[in-house]
Amino acid sequence: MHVATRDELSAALDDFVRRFRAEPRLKQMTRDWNRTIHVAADDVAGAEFTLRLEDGELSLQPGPPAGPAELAVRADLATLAAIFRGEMSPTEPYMSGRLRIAASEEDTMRLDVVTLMIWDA
Amino acid sequence: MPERPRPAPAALGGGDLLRRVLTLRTVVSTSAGLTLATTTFVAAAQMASYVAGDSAWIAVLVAGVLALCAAAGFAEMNGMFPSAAAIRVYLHRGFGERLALVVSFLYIGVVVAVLGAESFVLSQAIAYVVPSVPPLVWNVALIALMAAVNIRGVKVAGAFQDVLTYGLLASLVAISLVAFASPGFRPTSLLAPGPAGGLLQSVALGVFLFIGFEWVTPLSEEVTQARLVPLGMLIAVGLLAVTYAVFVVALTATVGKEALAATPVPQMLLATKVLGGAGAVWMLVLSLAASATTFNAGFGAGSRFLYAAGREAAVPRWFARIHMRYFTPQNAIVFLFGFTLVSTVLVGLTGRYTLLVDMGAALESIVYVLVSLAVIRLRRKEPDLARPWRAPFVPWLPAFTAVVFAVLAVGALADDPWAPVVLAAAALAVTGYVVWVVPRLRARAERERLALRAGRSAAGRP
Repeated sequence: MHVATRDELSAALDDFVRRFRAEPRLKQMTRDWNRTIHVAADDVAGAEFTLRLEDGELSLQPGPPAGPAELAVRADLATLAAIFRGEMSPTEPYMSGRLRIAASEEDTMRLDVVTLMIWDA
Repeated sequence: MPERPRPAPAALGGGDLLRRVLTLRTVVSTSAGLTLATTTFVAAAQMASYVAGDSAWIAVLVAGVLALCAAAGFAEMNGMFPSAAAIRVYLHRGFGERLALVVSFLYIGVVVAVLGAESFVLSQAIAYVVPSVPPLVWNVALIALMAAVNIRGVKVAGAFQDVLTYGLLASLVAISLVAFASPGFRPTSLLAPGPAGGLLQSVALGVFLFIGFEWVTPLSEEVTQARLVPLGMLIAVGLLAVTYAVFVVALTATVGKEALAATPVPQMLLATKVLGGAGAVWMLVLSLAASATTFNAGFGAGSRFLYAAGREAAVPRWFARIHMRYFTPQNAIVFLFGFTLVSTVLVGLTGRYTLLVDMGAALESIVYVLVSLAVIRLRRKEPDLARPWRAPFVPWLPAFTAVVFAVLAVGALADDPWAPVVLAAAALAVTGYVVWVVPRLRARAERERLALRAGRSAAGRP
């Protein structure tokens, strides 16, 4: 895996949001799941983004969330970029401890299902 | 990917942006609540058979102190890797993926098999109070109910867990104290456990009393302060040790060892002797409460493990199918329902519910050995990784813990000649599966993934 940059992660997240919007089942599935997701690389200062799910619509903002988030997704930049580009299943780095998801069990499961439907369904 | 030193979470610029609600009280109640189970009463009675008189409390406290040593290792690992995948992550980082997968499969397998024993024992307790309905009916109904509850995704709320656990602990102590105050209560050999071999065997089985205290680690990202999880685990183990120590003295001195050896429901005999029919009903309610969290945790951990294994193609992808309304791993839960049913029927047919207690204690001891060794190994391998909670006296304490629990694992397996045979056969089968089958499953999954992407590209989809 090559060394990723903050811009690459930003592009990967943009692509992720675009794919989310292109999948109508996801909008239906998440219409009652309003959540703020804080995505942060733990090896590059400032590589932080906020994904906001509101009434089935997903949006992306650079930087940390304004208030507390329900989910926090942390890993090194390369791993995060690979996950949001769909090159890597989140399960493998999660099981090795490289990816950390701070959230309730149910929210973690839902986020995983979203990635599953974007990349593998 | 090369490992690199990482900054502490506080330096991440946003490490404290998560909603955190759980307090120490709930961490303790969750840790202790996941450990309390109806089969632990059976284990307590088993322990008593290896020591003289009513001295099993010594073995309980020794097992508790040793569990505290293991808890120190779990605390350090949890601080480094606050993940719901817990031992899977710890062992992966310490020893690589293959060993982590083998141990995790075995661990989850034994835990779920123990649920079969738990269901069997609980159904016997219900039949003790309601004898008109056959225990097997209760047994199947309990497992079906638990599977349904897990598919529905019902969670035990923090406040309810507090009431459940502290009520349970207080009730067990209260019933024990009533037994102490009974006119015929005359304990013997309280301070003389007898031969060292018997005490060792008793301590080995005592490990079973503390299985599950570490399952509180998934809460680490929901607590108000990161240090509460390690602290909560230590307090929970201490509370459990004291409660079980008091309980086992009441049990052996009131019921007698001969009666205890012949029953799957020792707690019911104690409550009946001390408080009559009302005591039996009270103890049944306690047993139901103890089993409820155990069932929920066992099914939850098992199904999510299988789901994750399905996602990473370590088992067929069928296991990764979820319920689209409740977002629970429905196929994994259905599989566990069948697995537990088979386990409980086998336990019912053979009557060997203690075999699973032995295997559970042995495997838990092995996990403690590996986690302790992983603490030492990671201190050398990844010294710069942030450790919010550091185990004391490394490497001496974890090395001591590893050696002691290796001996206790052997002791637990020595309780039943079938225990080492079944565990070795299971370990062999799982190792063969991980070495030979998993790589093929993963290769097939990768081929399918690439074909899916190619099909999408051809169709002009993103």
